[in-house]
Amino acid sequence: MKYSHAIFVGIASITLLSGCGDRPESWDTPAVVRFDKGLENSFALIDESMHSVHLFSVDESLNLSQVRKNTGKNVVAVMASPQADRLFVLSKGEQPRRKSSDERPALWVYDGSGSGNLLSKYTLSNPLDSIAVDPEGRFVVLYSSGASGSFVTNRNELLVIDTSLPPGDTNPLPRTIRSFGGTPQRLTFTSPLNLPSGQRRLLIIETDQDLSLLDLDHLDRKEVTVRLSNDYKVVPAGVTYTDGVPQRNDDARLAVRTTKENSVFLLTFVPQANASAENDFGLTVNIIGLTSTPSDFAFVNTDGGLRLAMLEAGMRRATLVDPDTTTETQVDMPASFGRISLVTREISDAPAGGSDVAMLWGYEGVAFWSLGKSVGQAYRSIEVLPDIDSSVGNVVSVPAPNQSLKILVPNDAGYGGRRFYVLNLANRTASPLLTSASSLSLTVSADGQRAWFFQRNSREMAVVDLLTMHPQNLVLEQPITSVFDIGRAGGGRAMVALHYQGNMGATVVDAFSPDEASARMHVGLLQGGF
Amino acid sequence: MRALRFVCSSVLTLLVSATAMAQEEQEPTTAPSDSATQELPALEPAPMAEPTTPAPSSAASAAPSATVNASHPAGAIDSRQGYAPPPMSDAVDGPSRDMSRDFWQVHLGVRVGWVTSEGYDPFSENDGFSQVSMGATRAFVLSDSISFAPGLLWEYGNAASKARNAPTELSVHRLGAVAEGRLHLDRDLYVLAKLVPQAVYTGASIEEDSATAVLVRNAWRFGVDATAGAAWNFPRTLGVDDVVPQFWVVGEFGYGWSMNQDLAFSPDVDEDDPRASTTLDLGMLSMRGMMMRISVAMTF
Repeated sequence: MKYSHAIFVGIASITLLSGCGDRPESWDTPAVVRFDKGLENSFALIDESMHSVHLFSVDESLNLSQVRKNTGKNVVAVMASPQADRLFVLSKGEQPRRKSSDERPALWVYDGSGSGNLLSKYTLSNPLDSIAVDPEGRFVVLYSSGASGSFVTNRNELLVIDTSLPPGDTNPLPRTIRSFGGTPQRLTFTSPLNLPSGQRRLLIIETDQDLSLLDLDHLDRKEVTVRLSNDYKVVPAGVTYTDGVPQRNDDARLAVRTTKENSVFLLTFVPQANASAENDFGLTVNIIGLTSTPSDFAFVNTDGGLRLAMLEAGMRRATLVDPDTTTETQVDMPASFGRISLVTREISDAPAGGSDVAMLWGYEGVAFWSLGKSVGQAYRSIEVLPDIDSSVGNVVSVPAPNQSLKILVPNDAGYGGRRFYVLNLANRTASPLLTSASSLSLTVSADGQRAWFFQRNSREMAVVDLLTMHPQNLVLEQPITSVFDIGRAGGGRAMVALHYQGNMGATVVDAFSPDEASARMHVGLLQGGF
Repeated sequence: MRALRFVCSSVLTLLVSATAMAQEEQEPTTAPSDSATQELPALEPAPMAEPTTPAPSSAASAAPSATVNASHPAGAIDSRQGYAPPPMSDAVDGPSRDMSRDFWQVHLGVRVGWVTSEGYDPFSENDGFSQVSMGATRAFVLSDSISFAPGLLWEYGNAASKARNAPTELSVHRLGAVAEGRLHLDRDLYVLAKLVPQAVYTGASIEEDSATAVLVRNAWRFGVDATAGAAWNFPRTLGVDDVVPQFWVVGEFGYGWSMNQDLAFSPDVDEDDPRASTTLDLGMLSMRGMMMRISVAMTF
């Protein structure tokens, strides 16, 4: 028996030896993806379980090239730069940190052109969970939404990062805005404003009870805080601003509407009167009374000069206010429109004299408001598009060269006929398109030629040629989660539909000649490669 | 792991049965070893068979001078020339051939390889890859102590795991031609050197949820094993009668090499299916590395 025992031990030893050489743990870690972003020439997936960013680019044969880069642990926000040439990844790092080697919170900046190179990493001392990106791409502001889970959070602290500069002692720069109890709700980066002390870019911070202005060109200076009421019950709901006449430096203005007040706060930038003040501009505040709470507003140029145009929810009228005199002009409307957008640059027949044309949209369709006639002949200034009788929930702009097109996406609630429209501002026509989808998502190509429509978690999608309005329907193999239209290496463009099944899949289609038969299906995007 | 358990249980079953057979044959001889020694004189006529011995004359001439050892009743160790085969005679019961070297051999065993290729990682949590090994050889005696045994070999193994939660499976078949040289050190023991050129079939699959069909990659490649080892007829050493068949335990160690195979998976669909162009590339698989083979061989 001892021989059989020896043999058994031998076999057992072999079995044990055969267990040598464990594989990397990555193979035992399922992919976890919550964030994806389409970029200029690539798209990005964040594999949170592996703490990596995967950037994919498409070649001429619709194959994918993949670059994997390390990123921070516990990613909380991902954004693309406005030009889609960079990717911002905000991570909390390891919390709590037990060792000095444990990763700190950081903002990771990657090249979005396809190389995926890590351009910069801005290390933070405390984790933050919200990110706001400057439309001009220079600044990134990080702040806390209050949901970071930290033991103590200063929600009024903003970390301002100048992404044109490398990380340093003052980059990121922490700024705690003065607070009377409020916390930031929305951030707005202005374009350059011609202020009395010179040209400035401002960061407008709307809290839940007041307003602060931070001079982005002089981040060492204190912010200017505007208290909207003494009892702190006035809650900002939105801002709009104007630089005024380009040749003047005393007519830049800022307007604030609120959630409940029947009024609008009008702030005018003036020279600083207090010599000891840190900032070199001051503000005067006027309050413009209305009969109801404004739902939207915009500064517009009319035949009578600069005006603040305001729409009131449920009211078939608009109000024009002269910011210099606060004189109000009522303009009757044929319907109730809740939203206003300036489309002067996108139309072909803009009024002479620099007056604006506004597009009104919302509850009861769409209308054009020619502000060249608004003061003297208000009744002739409104042109309603009769074909659009449904509630418009969203207006999507189309990039150049088809910037005269707007895609009107209906509200789910007011879904009459499941129609959406491609509005041509040049000839003011609206092409209705029908969809069988119960909810609609869309992606407009950066070259302005196409719009991809899809329903999340459905296999059906369609592309509409924005020149001919020809729709082409596609049925993909897997349910769609996101759609990107990105540039291909070597020219051309490709549509990438992401599938969140398993280790992620993607269907890639030639954007110029979309066809399921020539589509390339890529599976297991995050599989292997460890 | 299922394959490993299967292989282990198969081999253990075989070994236990072989041991049991050996013990069963041993039972009638449970008397003290002296009794075996006492029966030895019955074989003493062996030197008398010299005229019929087909072995080379040098071995034959050495045989008369050899001392018949109690543990090696049918053969002898020549201190100058190594193992000398026993003479063959139709006059005694048993095989007409020298069953210590001139035999057919079939074996069943396990081959364990250490595959360090990264391409193997999706299919196993470690580097071990076990295969059941079956083969047959026929020995041709070249000289007194050296024989050559060509034959055929089939080995099969399977590994299954999960790659990032996607079930994976790898099956490997090896169909090889055996070229085995043996040096007989003793009637119950020989060492061997074996070369097995082979066709290696690998069938890999992954059930990736992002694909609408199972992804597979099957390929034939060329490979070769080079091993050295020893075979021991342990039942006979333990005193089991010289009966047919006889059982050996064979151990080998060496290197198994095979050509690289790409792991460009594609759906298991018809070629004209639009999904056929889908691929998932998991790199290269190299089923090569150090290996050992343990088997139980039956000779007859």
